[in-house]
Amino acid sequence: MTIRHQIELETISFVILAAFISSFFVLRSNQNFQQQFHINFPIIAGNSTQNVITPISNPVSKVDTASQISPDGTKMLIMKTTHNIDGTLTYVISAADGSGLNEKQLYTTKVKGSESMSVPFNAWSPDNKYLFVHKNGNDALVFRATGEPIASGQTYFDVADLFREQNKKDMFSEATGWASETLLIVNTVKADNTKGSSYWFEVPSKAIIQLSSEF
Amino acid sequence: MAKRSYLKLHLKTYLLAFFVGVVVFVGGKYFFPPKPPCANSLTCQSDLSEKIENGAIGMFQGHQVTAPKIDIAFDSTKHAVLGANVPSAQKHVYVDLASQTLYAYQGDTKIMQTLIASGRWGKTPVGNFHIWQKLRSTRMAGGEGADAYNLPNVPYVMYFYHDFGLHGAYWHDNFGHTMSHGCVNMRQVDAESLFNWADGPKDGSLGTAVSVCDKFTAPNICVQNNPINPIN
Repeated sequence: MTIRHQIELETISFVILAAFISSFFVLRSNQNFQQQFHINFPIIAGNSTQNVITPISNPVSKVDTASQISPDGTKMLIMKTTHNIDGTLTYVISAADGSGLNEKQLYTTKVKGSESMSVPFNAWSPDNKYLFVHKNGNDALVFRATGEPIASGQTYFDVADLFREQNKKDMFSEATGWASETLLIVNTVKADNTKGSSYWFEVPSKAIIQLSSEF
Repeated sequence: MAKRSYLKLHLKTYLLAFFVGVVVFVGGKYFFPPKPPCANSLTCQSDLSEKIENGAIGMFQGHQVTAPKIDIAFDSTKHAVLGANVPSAQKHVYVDLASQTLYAYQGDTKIMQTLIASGRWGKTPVGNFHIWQKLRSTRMAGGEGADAYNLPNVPYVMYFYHDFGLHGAYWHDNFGHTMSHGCVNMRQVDAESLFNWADGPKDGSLGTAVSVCDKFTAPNICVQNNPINPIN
Protein backbone atom coordinates (compact mmCIF):
# COMPACT_ATOMS: atom_id res chain seq x y z
CA MET A 1 0.00 0.00 0.00
CA THR A 2 1.43 3.37 -0.98
CA ILE A 3 1.55 6.36 1.32
CA ARG A 4 -1.05 8.02 -0.83
CA HIS A 5 -3.43 5.09 -0.37
CA GLN A 6 -2.78 5.11 3.35
CA ILE A 7 -3.59 8.81 3.63
CA GLU A 8 -6.74 8.39 1.54
CA LEU A 9 -7.87 5.65 3.87
CA GLU A 10 -7.10 7.78 6.93
CA THR A 11 -8.97 10.73 5.42
CA ILE A 12 -12.09 8.67 4.78
CA SER A 13 -11.93 7.20 8.29
CA PHE A 14 -11.57 10.61 9.93
CA VAL A 15 -14.41 12.09 7.91
CA ILE A 16 -16.75 9.22 8.80
CA LEU A 17 -15.72 9.45 12.47
CA ALA A 18 -16.28 13.21 12.51
CA ALA A 19 -19.72 12.78 10.95
CA PHE A 20 -20.69 10.20 13.58
CA ILE A 21 -19.44 12.32 16.47
CA SER A 22 -21.29 15.38 15.21
CA SER A 23 -24.51 13.40 14.75
CA PHE A 24 -24.16 12.12 18.28
CA PHE A 25 -23.87 15.68 19.60
CA VAL A 26 -26.95 16.76 17.61
CA LEU A 27 -28.92 13.84 19.06
CA ARG A 28 -27.61 14.43 22.54
CA SER A 29 -28.34 18.14 22.58
CA ASN A 30 -31.89 17.53 21.33
CA GLN A 31 -32.42 14.85 23.99
CA ASN A 32 -31.21 17.16 26.73
CA PHE A 33 -33.70 19.75 25.57
CA GLN A 34 -36.57 17.27 25.59
CA GLN A 35 -35.69 15.86 28.99
CA GLN A 36 -36.53 19.17 30.58
CA PHE A 37 -40.18 18.63 29.84
CA HIS A 38 -41.14 14.98 29.72
CA ILE A 39 -41.24 12.41 32.45
CA ASN A 40 -43.05 9.12 32.73
CA PHE A 41 -43.74 9.23 36.41
CA PRO A 42 -45.69 11.59 38.62
CA ILE A 43 -43.87 14.36 40.46
CA ILE A 44 -45.35 13.21 43.72
CA ALA A 45 -45.47 9.44 43.84
CA GLY A 46 -47.92 7.90 46.25
CA ASN A 47 -48.12 10.69 48.78
CA SER A 48 -50.87 9.36 50.98
CA THR A 49 -50.30 11.72 53.87
CA GLN A 50 -50.55 14.96 51.97
CA ASN A 51 -52.34 17.65 53.92
CA VAL A 52 -55.35 19.26 52.34
CA ILE A 53 -54.85 23.00 52.44
CA THR A 54 -57.97 25.04 52.75
CA PRO A 55 -58.58 27.79 50.22
CA ILE A 56 -59.18 31.24 51.58
CA SER A 57 -62.36 31.75 49.65
CA ASN A 58 -64.05 28.55 50.89
CA PRO A 59 -62.74 27.68 54.30
CA VAL A 60 -63.31 24.18 55.64
CA SER A 61 -62.53 23.83 59.28
CA LYS A 62 -63.68 21.83 62.29
CA VAL A 63 -66.41 24.12 63.36
CA ASP A 64 -70.12 23.55 63.82
CA THR A 65 -70.79 24.30 60.20
CA ALA A 66 -68.43 23.21 57.44
CA SER A 67 -69.06 23.69 53.76
CA GLN A 68 -67.50 23.04 50.40
CA ILE A 69 -68.45 24.65 47.14
CA SER A 70 -68.56 22.54 43.98
CA PRO A 71 -65.76 23.09 41.44
CA ASP A 72 -68.05 25.07 39.15
CA GLY A 73 -69.42 27.14 42.03
CA THR A 74 -73.06 26.22 41.49
CA LYS A 75 -73.56 23.88 44.47
CA MET A 76 -72.55 23.79 48.09
CA LEU A 77 -72.19 20.89 50.50
CA ILE A 78 -73.01 21.87 54.07
CA MET A 79 -72.30 19.79 57.15
CA LYS A 80 -73.72 20.92 60.48
CA THR A 81 -72.39 19.32 63.64
CA THR A 82 -74.34 19.51 66.86
CA HIS A 83 -72.50 18.71 70.10
CA ASN A 84 -75.17 17.06 72.24
CA ILE A 85 -75.24 17.25 76.03
CA ASP A 86 -74.78 13.47 76.30
CA GLY A 87 -71.47 13.72 74.47
CA THR A 88 -72.77 12.42 71.18
CA LEU A 89 -72.59 14.28 67.90
CA THR A 90 -75.35 14.83 65.39
CA TYR A 91 -74.29 15.40 61.82
CA VAL A 92 -76.63 16.88 59.24
CA ILE A 93 -75.44 16.81 55.64
CA SER A 94 -77.17 19.03 53.11
CA ALA A 95 -76.73 20.25 49.55
CA ALA A 96 -77.58 23.79 48.56
CA ASP A 97 -77.01 26.07 45.62
CA GLY A 98 -73.75 27.96 45.27
CA SER A 99 -74.82 30.81 47.52
CA GLY A 100 -75.88 28.41 50.30
CA LEU A 101 -79.61 28.88 49.69
CA ASN A 102 -82.24 26.24 48.90
CA GLU A 103 -80.70 23.76 51.29
CA LYS A 104 -81.83 20.16 50.88
CA GLN A 105 -81.06 17.68 53.62
CA LEU A 106 -79.34 14.49 52.43
CA TYR A 107 -78.51 12.62 55.60
CA THR A 108 -78.63 12.85 59.39
CA THR A 109 -76.81 10.65 61.85
CA LYS A 110 -76.04 10.62 65.56
CA VAL A 111 -72.69 9.15 66.51
CA LYS A 112 -70.46 8.71 69.56
CA GLY A 113 -68.24 11.66 70.45
CA SER A 114 -65.22 9.64 69.40
CA GLU A 115 -66.47 9.37 65.84
CA SER A 116 -66.14 12.16 63.32
CA MET A 117 -67.17 13.24 59.87
CA SER A 118 -65.60 15.90 57.68
CA VAL A 119 -66.04 17.59 54.33
CA PRO A 120 -63.17 17.07 51.85
CA PHE A 121 -61.94 19.68 49.38
CA ASN A 122 -62.81 17.43 46.42
CA ALA A 123 -66.23 16.41 47.74
CA TRP A 124 -68.22 17.03 44.57
CA SER A 125 -68.14 14.92 41.43
CA PRO A 126 -67.29 17.09 38.40
CA ASP A 127 -70.92 17.06 37.21
CA ASN A 128 -72.28 17.75 40.72
CA LYS A 129 -74.35 14.56 40.71
CA TYR A 130 -72.51 12.86 43.57
CA LEU A 131 -70.61 13.94 46.63
CA PHE A 132 -68.68 12.22 49.36
CA VAL A 133 -67.73 12.94 52.96
CA HIS A 134 -64.98 11.49 55.12
CA LYS A 135 -65.90 9.38 58.13
CA ASN A 136 -63.50 8.69 61.00
CA GLY A 137 -60.54 9.45 58.74
CA ASN A 138 -60.67 5.96 57.22
CA ASP A 139 -63.97 5.76 55.41
CA ALA A 140 -65.91 7.64 52.77
CA LEU A 141 -69.67 7.87 52.29
CA VAL A 142 -70.93 8.65 48.79
CA PHE A 143 -74.31 10.31 48.31
CA ARG A 144 -76.46 11.41 45.43
CA ALA A 145 -76.60 15.21 45.50
CA THR A 146 -80.34 15.22 44.87
CA GLY A 147 -81.03 13.40 48.13
CA GLU A 148 -82.43 10.35 46.32
CA PRO A 149 -81.21 6.91 47.40
CA ILE A 150 -77.94 6.00 45.70
CA ALA A 151 -79.15 2.45 45.23
CA SER A 152 -82.26 0.53 46.10
CA GLY A 153 -82.73 0.86 49.85
CA GLN A 154 -79.41 2.66 50.34
CA THR A 155 -78.97 6.31 51.18
CA TYR A 156 -75.23 6.16 50.57
CA PHE A 157 -72.37 3.87 49.63
CA ASP A 158 -69.95 3.07 52.43
CA VAL A 159 -66.77 2.75 50.37
CA ALA A 160 -64.68 1.07 53.09
CA ASP A 161 -67.39 -1.56 53.56
CA LEU A 162 -67.55 -2.21 49.82
CA PHE A 163 -63.77 -2.63 49.74
CA ARG A 164 -63.97 -5.15 52.55
CA GLU A 165 -66.66 -7.05 50.65
CA GLN A 166 -65.02 -6.97 47.22
CA ASN A 167 -61.30 -6.58 47.70
CA LYS A 168 -59.55 -8.93 50.08
CA LYS A 169 -56.04 -7.71 49.28
CA ASP A 170 -56.06 -4.01 50.16
CA MET A 171 -58.04 -2.03 52.72
CA PHE A 172 -59.59 1.38 52.15
CA SER A 173 -57.37 4.20 53.35
CA GLU A 174 -58.68 7.43 51.84
CA ALA A 175 -60.64 8.85 48.94
CA THR A 176 -58.69 11.68 47.31
CA GLY A 177 -61.27 12.98 44.83
CA TRP A 178 -62.95 12.30 41.51
CA ALA A 179 -61.10 11.17 38.38
CA SER A 180 -64.26 11.68 36.34
CA GLU A 181 -67.98 12.15 36.82
CA THR A 182 -68.41 8.69 38.35
CA LEU A 183 -64.93 7.52 39.38
CA LEU A 184 -63.80 8.12 42.92
CA ILE A 185 -60.03 7.76 43.45
CA VAL A 186 -59.27 5.56 46.45
CA ASN A 187 -55.96 4.87 48.17
CA THR A 188 -55.49 1.73 50.21
CA VAL A 189 -53.21 0.10 52.75
CA LYS A 190 -52.03 -3.50 52.81
CA ALA A 191 -52.48 -5.85 55.73
CA ASP A 192 -48.96 -5.00 56.95
CA ASN A 193 -49.96 -1.32 57.01
CA THR A 194 -47.77 -0.36 54.04
CA LYS A 195 -49.23 1.60 51.17
CA GLY A 196 -51.41 -0.42 48.83
CA SER A 197 -52.52 0.25 45.27
CA SER A 198 -54.80 3.06 44.18
CA TYR A 199 -58.21 2.24 42.77
CA TRP A 200 -61.18 3.74 41.01
CA PHE A 201 -64.48 3.20 42.74
CA GLU A 202 -67.18 3.39 40.06
CA VAL A 203 -70.22 4.85 41.74
CA PRO A 204 -73.30 3.55 39.95
CA SER A 205 -71.97 0.01 39.51
CA LYS A 206 -69.88 -0.18 42.72
CA ALA A 207 -67.04 -1.63 40.61
CA ILE A 208 -63.53 -1.44 42.05
CA ILE A 209 -60.82 -1.00 39.44
CA GLN A 210 -57.12 -1.22 40.34
CA LEU A 211 -54.87 1.48 38.86
CA SER A 212 -51.34 1.09 37.59
CA SER A 213 -50.17 4.33 39.18
CA GLU A 214 -50.55 5.58 42.73
CA PHE A 215 -52.21 8.76 43.93
CA MET B 1 10.69 16.78 1.61
CA ALA B 2 8.58 13.62 1.50
CA LYS B 3 8.09 13.87 5.28
CA ARG B 4 6.85 17.45 4.94
CA SER B 5 4.41 16.49 2.23
CA TYR B 6 3.23 13.61 4.41
CA LEU B 7 2.54 15.97 7.35
CA LYS B 8 0.78 18.41 5.07
CA LEU B 9 -1.55 15.68 3.85
CA HIS B 10 -2.28 14.66 7.44
CA LEU B 11 -3.11 18.24 8.35
CA LYS B 12 -5.48 18.43 5.40
CA THR B 13 -7.12 15.24 6.59
CA TYR B 14 -7.67 16.65 10.09
CA LEU B 15 -9.03 19.91 8.74
CA LEU B 16 -11.38 18.11 6.38
CA ALA B 17 -12.62 15.88 9.20
CA PHE B 18 -13.18 18.93 11.40
CA PHE B 19 -15.00 20.72 8.60
CA VAL B 20 -17.26 17.73 7.95
CA GLY B 21 -17.99 17.48 11.68
CA VAL B 22 -19.05 21.11 11.85
CA VAL B 23 -21.19 20.81 8.71
CA VAL B 24 -22.97 17.71 10.03
CA PHE B 25 -23.62 19.35 13.42
CA VAL B 26 -24.95 22.58 11.97
CA GLY B 27 -26.97 20.73 9.34
CA GLY B 28 -28.34 18.35 11.94
CA LYS B 29 -29.48 21.18 14.19
CA TYR B 30 -31.07 22.89 11.19
CA PHE B 31 -32.88 19.89 9.71
CA PHE B 32 -33.69 18.12 12.99
CA PRO B 33 -34.55 20.89 15.46
CA PRO B 34 -35.76 19.82 18.94
CA LYS B 35 -39.51 19.66 19.30
CA PRO B 36 -40.94 22.58 21.31
CA PRO B 37 -42.09 21.63 24.82
CA CYS B 38 -45.81 20.95 24.92
CA ALA B 39 -48.34 20.31 27.63
CA ASN B 40 -50.95 19.37 25.04
CA SER B 41 -49.12 17.56 22.28
CA LEU B 42 -51.81 18.08 19.63
CA THR B 43 -53.23 21.54 20.21
CA CYS B 44 -49.96 23.17 21.17
CA GLN B 45 -48.67 22.52 17.66
CA SER B 46 -51.83 23.57 15.90
CA ASP B 47 -53.96 26.11 17.70
CA LEU B 48 -53.72 28.18 20.86
CA SER B 49 -56.58 30.48 19.97
CA GLU B 50 -59.79 31.22 21.83
CA LYS B 51 -62.53 28.69 21.13
CA ILE B 52 -66.00 28.27 22.54
CA GLU B 53 -67.65 25.02 21.50
CA ASN B 54 -70.86 24.72 23.48
CA GLY B 55 -72.43 21.28 23.22
CA ALA B 56 -69.17 19.58 22.25
CA ILE B 57 -68.28 16.33 23.99
CA GLY B 58 -64.81 15.89 25.46
CA MET B 59 -62.79 12.83 26.33
CA PHE B 60 -60.49 12.19 29.28
CA GLN B 61 -59.00 8.89 30.44
CA GLY B 62 -61.26 6.94 28.09
CA HIS B 63 -64.44 8.57 29.41
CA GLN B 64 -66.72 11.03 27.67
CA VAL B 65 -67.13 14.38 29.38
CA THR B 66 -69.75 17.01 28.74
CA ALA B 67 -68.09 20.38 28.46
CA PRO B 68 -69.77 23.16 30.41
CA LYS B 69 -71.66 25.73 28.39
CA ILE B 70 -69.92 29.09 28.23
CA ASP B 71 -71.94 32.26 27.91
CA ILE B 72 -69.67 35.27 27.59
CA ALA B 73 -72.56 37.68 28.14
CA PHE B 74 -73.11 36.16 31.58
CA ASP B 75 -69.44 36.71 32.55
CA SER B 76 -69.80 40.46 33.01
CA THR B 77 -72.57 40.03 35.58
CA LYS B 78 -70.41 37.95 37.93
CA HIS B 79 -68.76 38.79 41.22
CA ALA B 80 -66.10 41.33 42.10
CA VAL B 81 -62.48 40.90 41.11
CA LEU B 82 -60.02 39.45 43.63
CA GLY B 83 -57.84 41.96 45.42
CA ALA B 84 -60.13 44.88 44.64
CA ASN B 85 -59.81 46.09 48.24
CA VAL B 86 -56.04 45.64 48.36
CA PRO B 87 -53.69 48.50 47.40
CA SER B 88 -52.52 48.27 43.84
CA ALA B 89 -49.18 46.49 43.72
CA GLN B 90 -47.22 44.01 41.68
CA LYS B 91 -49.08 40.76 41.11
CA HIS B 92 -47.34 37.42 41.45
CA VAL B 93 -48.66 33.85 41.26
CA TYR B 94 -46.69 31.06 42.95
CA VAL B 95 -47.35 27.39 42.29
CA ASP B 96 -46.00 25.04 44.95
CA LEU B 97 -45.60 21.61 43.35
CA ALA B 98 -44.79 19.91 46.66
CA SER B 99 -48.07 20.83 48.31
CA GLN B 100 -50.02 21.23 45.05
CA THR B 101 -51.07 24.68 46.14
CA LEU B 102 -51.36 27.97 44.29
CA TYR B 103 -50.82 31.33 45.99
CA ALA B 104 -51.65 34.70 44.46
CA TYR B 105 -50.03 37.83 45.90
CA GLN B 106 -50.70 41.47 45.30
CA GLY B 107 -47.61 43.09 46.72
CA ASP B 108 -47.15 41.47 50.13
CA THR B 109 -50.81 40.61 50.50
CA LYS B 110 -51.90 37.06 49.83
CA ILE B 111 -55.23 37.28 48.10
CA MET B 112 -55.74 33.66 47.12
CA GLN B 113 -54.64 30.19 48.19
CA THR B 114 -56.11 27.05 46.74
CA LEU B 115 -55.29 23.47 45.77
CA ILE B 116 -54.29 22.74 42.20
CA ALA B 117 -53.42 19.67 40.13
CA SER B 118 -50.12 19.87 38.25
CA GLY B 119 -48.36 17.51 35.87
CA ARG B 120 -48.77 13.79 36.31
CA TRP B 121 -48.36 12.56 32.72
CA GLY B 122 -45.97 15.39 31.81
CA LYS B 123 -43.87 17.62 34.01
CA THR B 124 -44.98 21.13 34.90
CA PRO B 125 -42.01 23.37 34.03
CA VAL B 126 -40.28 24.85 37.07
CA GLY B 127 -39.16 28.44 36.55
CA ASN B 128 -40.16 32.08 36.49
CA PHE B 129 -42.53 33.20 33.78
CA HIS B 130 -45.15 35.76 32.89
CA ILE B 131 -48.64 35.18 31.57
CA TRP B 132 -48.25 35.68 27.83
CA GLN B 133 -51.84 34.98 26.78
CA LYS B 134 -55.24 34.87 28.42
CA LEU B 135 -58.08 32.96 26.79
CA ARG B 136 -61.61 32.70 28.15
CA SER B 137 -61.82 29.23 26.64
CA THR B 138 -59.95 26.92 24.28
CA ARG B 139 -59.63 23.29 23.28
CA MET B 140 -56.80 21.17 24.66
CA ALA B 141 -55.87 17.81 23.18
CA GLY B 142 -52.97 15.40 23.37
CA GLY B 143 -51.74 12.16 24.88
CA GLU B 144 -51.77 8.75 23.26
CA GLY B 145 -53.71 5.52 23.66
CA ALA B 146 -55.51 5.21 26.97
CA ASP B 147 -53.97 8.53 27.98
CA ALA B 148 -55.43 10.43 24.99
CA TYR B 149 -57.64 13.39 25.82
CA ASN B 150 -59.52 16.00 23.86
CA LEU B 151 -61.26 18.67 25.87
CA PRO B 152 -63.31 21.54 24.43
CA ASN B 153 -64.25 24.66 26.41
CA VAL B 154 -61.29 24.52 28.80
CA PRO B 155 -62.09 27.65 30.78
CA TYR B 156 -60.00 30.58 32.02
CA VAL B 157 -56.69 29.73 30.38
CA MET B 158 -53.59 31.74 31.33
CA TYR B 159 -50.60 30.51 29.32
CA PHE B 160 -47.30 31.24 31.04
CA TYR B 161 -44.78 29.11 29.08
CA HIS B 162 -45.47 27.82 25.57
CA ASP B 163 -48.81 26.04 26.02
CA PHE B 164 -48.31 25.38 29.73
CA GLY B 165 -51.01 27.33 31.48
CA LEU B 166 -53.12 27.86 34.54
CA HIS B 167 -56.72 26.95 33.74
CA GLY B 168 -59.98 25.61 35.05
CA ALA B 169 -60.62 21.85 34.84
CA TYR B 170 -64.21 20.56 34.63
CA TRP B 171 -63.36 16.90 33.92
CA HIS B 172 -62.00 15.91 37.32
CA ASP B 173 -62.17 17.00 40.94
CA ASN B 174 -58.93 15.69 42.39
CA PHE B 175 -57.11 18.86 43.30
CA GLY B 176 -54.20 18.56 45.69
CA HIS B 177 -52.87 15.66 43.59
CA THR B 178 -51.03 15.57 40.27
CA MET B 179 -53.59 15.09 37.52
CA SER B 180 -52.53 17.02 34.40
CA HIS B 181 -50.26 16.71 31.39
CA GLY B 182 -48.15 19.66 32.54
CA CYS B 183 -50.62 22.49 32.96
CA VAL B 184 -51.79 23.75 36.33
CA ASN B 185 -55.42 22.64 36.76
CA MET B 186 -57.66 24.60 39.07
CA ARG B 187 -61.30 24.39 40.11
CA GLN B 188 -63.38 26.48 37.75
CA VAL B 189 -64.40 28.86 40.54
CA ASP B 190 -60.76 29.46 41.47
CA ALA B 191 -59.60 29.75 37.86
CA GLU B 192 -62.30 32.32 37.19
CA SER B 193 -61.25 34.45 40.17
CA LEU B 194 -57.60 34.26 39.20
CA PHE B 195 -58.34 34.96 35.53
CA ASN B 196 -60.30 38.10 36.37
CA TRP B 197 -57.47 39.32 38.61
CA ALA B 198 -54.38 38.37 36.62
CA ASP B 199 -53.09 40.47 33.73
CA GLY B 200 -51.98 39.44 30.29
CA PRO B 201 -49.33 41.45 28.47
CA LYS B 202 -50.55 44.96 27.69
CA ASP B 203 -49.01 48.10 26.18
CA GLY B 204 -45.55 46.62 26.13
CA SER B 205 -45.64 45.46 29.75
CA LEU B 206 -45.40 41.82 30.72
CA GLY B 207 -48.32 39.85 32.10
CA THR B 208 -48.63 38.78 35.74
CA ALA B 209 -45.56 36.93 37.00
CA VAL B 210 -45.91 33.18 37.54
CA SER B 211 -43.29 31.24 39.50
CA VAL B 212 -43.48 27.48 39.57
CA CYS B 213 -41.59 26.23 42.62
CA ASP B 214 -40.57 22.78 43.75
CA LYS B 215 -41.32 24.15 47.18
CA PHE B 216 -42.76 27.53 48.13
CA THR B 217 -42.41 29.07 51.59
CA ALA B 218 -43.07 32.77 51.15
CA PRO B 219 -42.90 35.37 48.37
CA ASN B 220 -39.40 35.26 46.90
CA ILE B 221 -38.63 32.06 48.84
CA CYS B 222 -39.34 29.68 46.01
CA VAL B 223 -37.11 26.62 45.81
CA GLN B 224 -36.47 25.71 42.17
CA ASN B 225 -34.30 22.80 41.09
CA ASN B 226 -33.06 23.24 37.52
CA PRO B 227 -35.46 26.04 36.64
CA ILE B 228 -35.97 26.86 33.00
CA ASN B 229 -35.25 30.56 33.43
CA PRO B 230 -33.97 31.34 36.92
CA ILE B 231 -34.19 34.84 38.37
CA ASN B 232 -30.78 36.45 37.94
